[in-house]
Amino acid sequence: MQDLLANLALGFSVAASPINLGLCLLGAVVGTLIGVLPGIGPLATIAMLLPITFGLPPVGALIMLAGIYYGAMYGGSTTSILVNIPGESASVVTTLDGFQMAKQGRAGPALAIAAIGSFFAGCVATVFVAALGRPLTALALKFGPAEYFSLMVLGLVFAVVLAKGSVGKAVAMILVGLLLSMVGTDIETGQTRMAFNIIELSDGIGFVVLAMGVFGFSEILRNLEVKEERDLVQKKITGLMPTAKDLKDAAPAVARGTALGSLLGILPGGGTILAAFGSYTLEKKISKHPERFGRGAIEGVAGPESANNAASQTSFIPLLTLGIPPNAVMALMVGAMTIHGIVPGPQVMTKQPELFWGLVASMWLGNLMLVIINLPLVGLWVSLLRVPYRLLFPMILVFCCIGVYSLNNTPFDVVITAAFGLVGYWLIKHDFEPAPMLLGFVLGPLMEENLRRAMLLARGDATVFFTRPISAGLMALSIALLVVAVLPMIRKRRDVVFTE
Amino acid sequence: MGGQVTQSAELLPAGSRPGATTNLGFWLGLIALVVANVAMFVAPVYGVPLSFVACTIAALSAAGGDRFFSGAAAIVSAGNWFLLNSAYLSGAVVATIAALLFAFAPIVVLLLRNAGMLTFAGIRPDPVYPPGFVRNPQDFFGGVALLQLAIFAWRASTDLPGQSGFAFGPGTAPRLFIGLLVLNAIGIILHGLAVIGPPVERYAFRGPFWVTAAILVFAATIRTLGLVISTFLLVLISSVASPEIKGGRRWIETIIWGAVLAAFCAVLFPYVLNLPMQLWPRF
Repeated sequence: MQDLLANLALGFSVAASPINLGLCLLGAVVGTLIGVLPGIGPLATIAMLLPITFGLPPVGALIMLAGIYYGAMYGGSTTSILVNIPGESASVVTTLDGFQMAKQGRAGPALAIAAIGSFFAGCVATVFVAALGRPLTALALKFGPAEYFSLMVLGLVFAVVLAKGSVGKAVAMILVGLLLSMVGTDIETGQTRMAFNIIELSDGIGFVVLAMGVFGFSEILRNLEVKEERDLVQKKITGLMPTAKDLKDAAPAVARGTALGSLLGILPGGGTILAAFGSYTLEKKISKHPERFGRGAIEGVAGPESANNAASQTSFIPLLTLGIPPNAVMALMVGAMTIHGIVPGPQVMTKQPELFWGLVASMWLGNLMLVIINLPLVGLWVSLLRVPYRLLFPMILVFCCIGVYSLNNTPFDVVITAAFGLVGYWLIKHDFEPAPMLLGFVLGPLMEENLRRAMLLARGDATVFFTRPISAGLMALSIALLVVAVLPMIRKRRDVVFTE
Repeated sequence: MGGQVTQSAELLPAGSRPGATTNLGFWLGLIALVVANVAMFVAPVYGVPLSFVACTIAALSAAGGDRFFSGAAAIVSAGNWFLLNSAYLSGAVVATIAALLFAFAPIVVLLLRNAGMLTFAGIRPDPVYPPGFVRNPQDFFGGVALLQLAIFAWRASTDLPGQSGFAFGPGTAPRLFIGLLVLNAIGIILHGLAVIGPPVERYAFRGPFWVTAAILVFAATIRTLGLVISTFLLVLISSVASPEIKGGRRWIETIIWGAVLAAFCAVLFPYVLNLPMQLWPRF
């Protein structure tokens, strides 16, 4: 406990320095600014804004990125409530009741409760991250290559189970991601693999290049195709603050959502989606008036928003302690960390405590910033939502292109990104989800390295993954999950949850 | 928009065109794809002419109503020429360019047909695509594409040494994942043949074409013409992709918007964010 407080104090002393505070604020503002634009999820937002952190020192850059992340998440909630366009799959749930509330002229309370619920969830989750950080790091140090490999398999299995649509297609996407990650120089032998003698490819495919192509460009291509109908709530937003009754109704939902989200967020493979959906279902189940849901029930906004935010915060835990990104956004964070020369994993906490605890503290500060900046700025976000798409998408393209170019100052990266944009468009048309591919792409090098090491240590005996206890447990869990996901009965229920 | 023209030409109900249910395009396309794959694995002396054969068949199949295999065969052939470029055609710039142009022939035929400009005597696209035994086209073609990717990756990693003793070689892990992908792809193809599913949505032409063109122009000009001009061009060209800007409407707005964005970026990236970038053309 003493330790925890001391560590948090260290964190706050780092995060609360004027410069870092300013960076966090700036990140939150810019993140919301981009995230609020319709059709841009947190992933695209972070990918687009990554270059602006290049010039900063590592700690400041990460704090700013965390601010961008929370801002982007909140921006997604804002569009869900005001225009019925979810920025990402986790905020789909918010549209159900949030948009209805906005239609009834209660957009203000809906936005406010989303911000307040998220802030509360952020406070709890920050403590949770801080408390769990040390024991999990200790556990991580006991992990050998076999355990790491099994853990990553488990993470990928989670990503498969939680992906929308067919399990087989999600597995295929992961395999494609793994294969793409093999392009470039082999770490151990230095041999160039599958690079077709293109010099630029001998370094491998850039993470941002892939993410920006598949999430940024292809999203634009798809949006251009659908007739634009933005159902922007025309009523003037009056009365921002929720009434006492609203608060009373929402408070238990916030608490339950926070608890659910904090736990589910640790799961690798997209815990935020599960948290948001789970919280909505829970609130509807235990409510005395379930018929109010879908017609503007404030619990239906408060619960999922809190769960979503708590989960997005605790999903930092596997990344910071084990070095394994649990979802695509965290995968992007790994990319950002690597650019700044930080290798995420257990050693971050011991070797760079100011970075680890500074990041934890900045999570809380980032949430505070959101409450402070968003409530007064709602009017600005609404006017941003009125910008027509014909002006919006060239702007997004400009930022994406310059961002990708600035990574290595090579036009080749831009060309590859365009190619991935077309690939992503094709994937959408054939109902493949790109998020598992991105996760596979990031985990690929780590998986290969650990697989190789484990096999070498076991003298080529592949049963090592099932004979070492921790590894065997993880593998058994993965297999059980996959079996469950494929079982027809459960699959039907899963489809119901995703279509609801 | 491209999509509107094409629909009237193609989506006639089955049977409304007499005698056109052979699905010739589908089968020709499949043959083209197989030939293109064989061309990747034989010696370059045979591989180069085989790729030309594959592209010819693909162009015919595109004219016959195929919408998938011809494009795939063209892309594989282009990739194959790329692989061969270092080994066999090295230095033969003209030959490479000719080959690449040839690879695009099926795609051009496909686009011409979609635009309704290809109605010469005798050849008529099949009214039904794909044939009825493909119950879930999304999965079927998705699976075929994955299988194709696996084959291509296999070809690209043939030169990598595999396992030696207990130690993995650089080629071991790629081949492991390729093997899994092959199994997976076959499963998806079979699923596409067995279970009824939604048809593949039509691809738009206007949006992807102009956006991609704009990005490529940006990539080509950023080094030589500098940030300001290339950003301006990017905005101008990509704006054509929007259906709202069709037919020269709103071009003043677009030019102003391009100038504003170019000016904004010229201040933001080099000065505010401190990213070194060349602003103006180099002479």
